Amino acid sequence: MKSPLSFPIAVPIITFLVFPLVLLADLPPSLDFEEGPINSITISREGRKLAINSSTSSEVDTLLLTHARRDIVETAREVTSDSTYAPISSRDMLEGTSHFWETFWTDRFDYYKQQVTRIPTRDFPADQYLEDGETISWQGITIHFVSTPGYTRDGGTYIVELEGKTLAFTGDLILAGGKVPDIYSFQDEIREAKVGGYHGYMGRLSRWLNSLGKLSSLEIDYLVPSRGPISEEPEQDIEMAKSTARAIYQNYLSTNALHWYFGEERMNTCAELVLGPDQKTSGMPFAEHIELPDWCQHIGTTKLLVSKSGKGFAMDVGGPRSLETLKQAQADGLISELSGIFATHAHNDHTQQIAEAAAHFQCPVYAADEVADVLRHPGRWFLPGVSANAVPDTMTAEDGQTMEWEEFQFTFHFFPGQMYNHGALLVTTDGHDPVFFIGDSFSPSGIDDYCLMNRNLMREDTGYNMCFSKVRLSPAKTWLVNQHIPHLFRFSPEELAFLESSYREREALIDSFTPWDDRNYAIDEQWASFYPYGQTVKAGESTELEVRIWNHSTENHKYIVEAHGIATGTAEIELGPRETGAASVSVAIPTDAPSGIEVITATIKRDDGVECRHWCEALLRIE
Amino acid sequence: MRVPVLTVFLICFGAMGTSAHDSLYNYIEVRINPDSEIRIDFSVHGPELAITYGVDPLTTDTSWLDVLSPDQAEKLLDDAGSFILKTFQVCSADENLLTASDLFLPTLPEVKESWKMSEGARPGSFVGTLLLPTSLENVTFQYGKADKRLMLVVTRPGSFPKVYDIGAEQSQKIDLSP
Repeated sequence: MKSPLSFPIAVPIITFLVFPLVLLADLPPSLDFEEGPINSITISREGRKLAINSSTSSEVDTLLLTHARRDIVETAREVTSDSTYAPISSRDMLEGTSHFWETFWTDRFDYYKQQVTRIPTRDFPADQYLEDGETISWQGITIHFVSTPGYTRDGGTYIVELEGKTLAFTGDLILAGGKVPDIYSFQDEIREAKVGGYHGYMGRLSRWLNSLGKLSSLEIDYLVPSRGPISEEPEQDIEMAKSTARAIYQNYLSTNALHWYFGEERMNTCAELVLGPDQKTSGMPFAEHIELPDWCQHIGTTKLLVSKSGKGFAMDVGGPRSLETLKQAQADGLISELSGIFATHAHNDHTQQIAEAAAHFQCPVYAADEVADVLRHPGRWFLPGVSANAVPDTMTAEDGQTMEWEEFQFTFHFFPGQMYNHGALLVTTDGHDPVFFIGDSFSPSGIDDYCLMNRNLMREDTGYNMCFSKVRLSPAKTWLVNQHIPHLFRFSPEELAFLESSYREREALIDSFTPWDDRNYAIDEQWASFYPYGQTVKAGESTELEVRIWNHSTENHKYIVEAHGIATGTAEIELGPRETGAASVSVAIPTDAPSGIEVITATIKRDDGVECRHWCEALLRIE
Repeated sequence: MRVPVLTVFLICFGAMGTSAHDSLYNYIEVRINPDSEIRIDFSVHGPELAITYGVDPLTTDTSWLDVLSPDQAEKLLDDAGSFILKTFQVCSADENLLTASDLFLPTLPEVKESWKMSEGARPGSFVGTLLLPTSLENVTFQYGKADKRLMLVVTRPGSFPKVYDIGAEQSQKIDLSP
């Protein structure tokens, strides 16, 4: 048995250390199971071997893939097999890697599909693809394939009876203890509710629940996942997983900003799909809201402040129509100048025309530090909806920095609400209650946390917990403004308390649903990410890449980064609790490297045994 | 009194907004200009009508229409027209000025040609246009049963746009004077 310290997720290690002998005693003798970053699962019969996703045997007769996530595939690639089987739903990812990465060079901008990009770096075609219900015969065993999407869009489970025990090889569908590897992988469109991928928080939950339902009907003795220990109590774990997932989703719906826009019909459809027939959402009533003041104009996603002297100051310039309207306002004498632009956050519907507007009006652009670098160097980032239009001269507005503009006083804020790369601007002026321009972070119905790829960290020191605190600590009677909504609104103390307490309940639920030592590893796909994400290089050149690591843990950890692809070598970094840092790896582009997109990946190892293979990627366009 | 109405239906890409967030509302823009007819544009996010064809309802590029067959695309245009007629009423003296007989739907080639000409239109949106005579003093917009809110924007030369944020099954009276 391999050391359990190689298991990628910390908490179940303890569980496994307590119970291994019981497990091993009951497992069918023909099954060899060893925990690892991807569990080695091998069935031996009459001198021949079959592996599921990974095997400590370098050569097997048959290899079964449960899904096509990159860390699974790159581990499976190390196993030589005579024949490989995979779900039909995995085919595009196993055979279309070149096309995906070539087009992703441009598709990564203005990106709203919100799918995990852990796509293999190169093709790994299967010999046969399986439809739901198909069977494989191998050495006298019948292997039943069950399509089980949910955690991923693809995904299948192999059901095998060995020595009188029925085993389900589930990949990442469900882990022992009724957990899943992370939350963000579930992000997807909810077609029945006309909710797109960007707004689809855990959007694949209903498909996942259906998949678990299939397994429940099969009287399984063991769930054998590709991460963590074997589940000896399949039905109990499945029921626990379903119950926790539904509680998380119900909690999410109860505080959600989308109620304001979509009303009951769509949100109830979402509820019914996950919670069951006739289940309704129960959000709080809309917060108090009134018309915007005369000095604030709503122009698309732009809010324009107009001073008594006729000068303008804009929050965001997204679409061309917003820019045209600002130009027309100046032409019509409605504003004499545009004195400045504040970018609330890094989404393209708020930033796309900022550079052109700044050039036209010859005005400065301000943004919170966490937003400014995305504006200056959008190609270095991969985040939802980032525009490729750079704003090179963006000025950083520090958290708490103040500025006088005409009869208004501004206080700039870092405000990691709708996305981490987000700011806010508190505006005060005589004769009006303060107005806090909070970008897209709240609506009168609650929290804009529908997109997990926006990095809504659930930490006490940042994310929505920081936003709640800033709203609560803002001056008395402060109004909030969302860039999409032509109203002022504000939460009563009771409403704010409801949002906060609900959020903390969800934090606890996610703790119990995911196996990490800190929930933020399960929420934040980018806890380890390359910077720059994309860059153009020439053959023969050398460059450095950072792997930025967020130690979400409340303990010190040393991280080792191993680069793959044309990048080589390792780097180490030690980080304190909640600290963020970067380890650098060098890339030497061969002089004969062909032009095109090169994908570099990194394996991240943590000093307590967590190992995440080929976890994050960077794109190099070689010219 | 029956008021002369001319309705033109176009599909446009590229303009008022730029992203998935555009689908948060339905949009009506009323353009009041003393020198010409009153123009009312109804904007509907196309991919939401195409989910039965496997289109992500938040799709914002132009690729989604390419995956549809010509028959499907034509039906989508019909669906968009039906949606506008079903969802919006523009009333003057209790008469609905927006009727099926006034609605013109282009052919698919016309639609695709309009993409090239329509830089600046909302990505993925269908836009239907209604022209009203300047003699009308006011109209009432009745927003029907809908699954999202309506943003009603009124523009006049020399003024900032006036914006109304309207919930389903609500109405809003608009003064049409220049």
